[in-house]
Amino acid sequence: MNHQTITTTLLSAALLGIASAGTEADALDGSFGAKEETFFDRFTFGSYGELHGRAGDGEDNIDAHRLVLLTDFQVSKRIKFVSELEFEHVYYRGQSGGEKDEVTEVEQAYFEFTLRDDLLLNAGIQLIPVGIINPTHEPTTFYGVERPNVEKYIIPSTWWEGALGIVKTYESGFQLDVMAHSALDMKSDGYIRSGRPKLHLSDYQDTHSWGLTSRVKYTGIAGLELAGALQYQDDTSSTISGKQSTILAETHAIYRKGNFEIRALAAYWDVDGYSNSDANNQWGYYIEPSYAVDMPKGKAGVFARFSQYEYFNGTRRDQKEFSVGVNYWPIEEVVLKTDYTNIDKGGEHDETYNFGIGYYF
Amino acid sequence: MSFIMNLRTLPCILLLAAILHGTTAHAADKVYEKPSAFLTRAFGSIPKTRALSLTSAQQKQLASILGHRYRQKKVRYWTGGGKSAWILDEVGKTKPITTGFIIRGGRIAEIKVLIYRESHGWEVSRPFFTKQFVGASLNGKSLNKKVDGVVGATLSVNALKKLGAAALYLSGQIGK
Repeated sequence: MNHQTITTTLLSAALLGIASAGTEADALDGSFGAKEETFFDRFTFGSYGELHGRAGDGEDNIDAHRLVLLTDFQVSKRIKFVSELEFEHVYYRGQSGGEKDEVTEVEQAYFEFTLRDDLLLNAGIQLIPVGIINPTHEPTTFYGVERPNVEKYIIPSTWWEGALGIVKTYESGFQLDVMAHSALDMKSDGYIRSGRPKLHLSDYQDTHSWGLTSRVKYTGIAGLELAGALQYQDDTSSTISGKQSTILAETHAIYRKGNFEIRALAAYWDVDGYSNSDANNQWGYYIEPSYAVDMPKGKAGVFARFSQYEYFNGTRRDQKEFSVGVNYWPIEEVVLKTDYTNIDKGGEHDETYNFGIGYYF
Repeated sequence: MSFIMNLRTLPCILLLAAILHGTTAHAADKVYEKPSAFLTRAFGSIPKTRALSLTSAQQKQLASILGHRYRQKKVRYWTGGGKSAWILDEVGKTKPITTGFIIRGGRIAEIKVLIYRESHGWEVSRPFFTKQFVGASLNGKSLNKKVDGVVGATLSVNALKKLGAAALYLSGQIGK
């Protein structure tokens, strides 16, 4: 065997060795994660819902407040369809004449395009990225039977629009959302919550309004979320001539350490063009400490929440509110809740005792 | 003119087609470290693959830790230098999170999210979160340390806590 043959043989053996090692590593690397998927494996189903009861001032009632069906479909490696169909107040007759309050809504129906592993493009009906509750409102995730009123009257949760948005994440823990979307139509009364157009064609035909929302969120420390959102809407009334532009600024923080958690949120609206100046500035904030402990079976937590908010609905509503209550999760997916809520409506106190059961799976 | 337009539009069409059809397999998966690289870093080279055949009692305990049945009857692991490595999958919300663990002396010496496939909750892969697992041991069917979660990523956090407990349990079953 000459030198050339030896060299060739050694080189071949080395190459084979590399190829063999590469094959072994590749086989190992490829052996984790999702196996070959069938068409039906590409669907993900979920649901959440809550049943509420209340007693005290106002009408006592029991309300199947919401039942929500979640369906996602992985269209391709980079495209996912996300949907959320909601049935609200299905048996509740709160309207005059005994009419049912039942509402059926498509709250989310959008395509999520993964442009890069740190960049998403979302197109369709989406939740506006403002506040704590609007993006994440499954009943197992928050204290209190009803959602915090600041996130009902000031951030009109649940608030969704037809939208095109991007979500950019950074390794440092920052996330940037920028979304262009359809916008509120508060008609002539300046009541934020009633302004949600819910994509009614007539509203959009009247206003042609649009909005732009941006949010920066930081979750780069265990247990911490800091976020700030800024939004501009071009024209929020279809019944008043001229433009009723609005700016919404919101910020919130959540911090969990061990068994302790604190949430705080503040939001402010600068509303232009309404004849009643009381509509021009609407704002609210709340702070909510809580403490949860593991039980022999499940987990229990207590909370207190102080809120103050001013919103406009025909007249100015200036309210201070105090809630205390208990959540008990027998399993992670189910929660039993009770709370006492006292709302100071300018000297008149509205006291309620609330009970609820919620689930999310 | 139309030829020039075609030349201009062709890359866009190809890009769109690539996105729509996902021609780059698993392109949406975020690979922080390949499993082979994780093992090579831990042991110097990839040790011989071993497998733990689960008895019915072990399967039952593993199901109790994970909260669901563990589908496989054998679990691969790697050993060397007084430590063992476990690479396990667990679904966060909809997709499996592939995570590597190094166990030494009944405690987690290292945890590394190797492949993350969900579009949300990726923060669980970052060291500020995973470093909380180091030194944890098994207490019943869960970790003996309190791990502070990531806000908005509860399902992924829970998946990693379960995997940590599973890796510790499995490492204690070697040779039994």
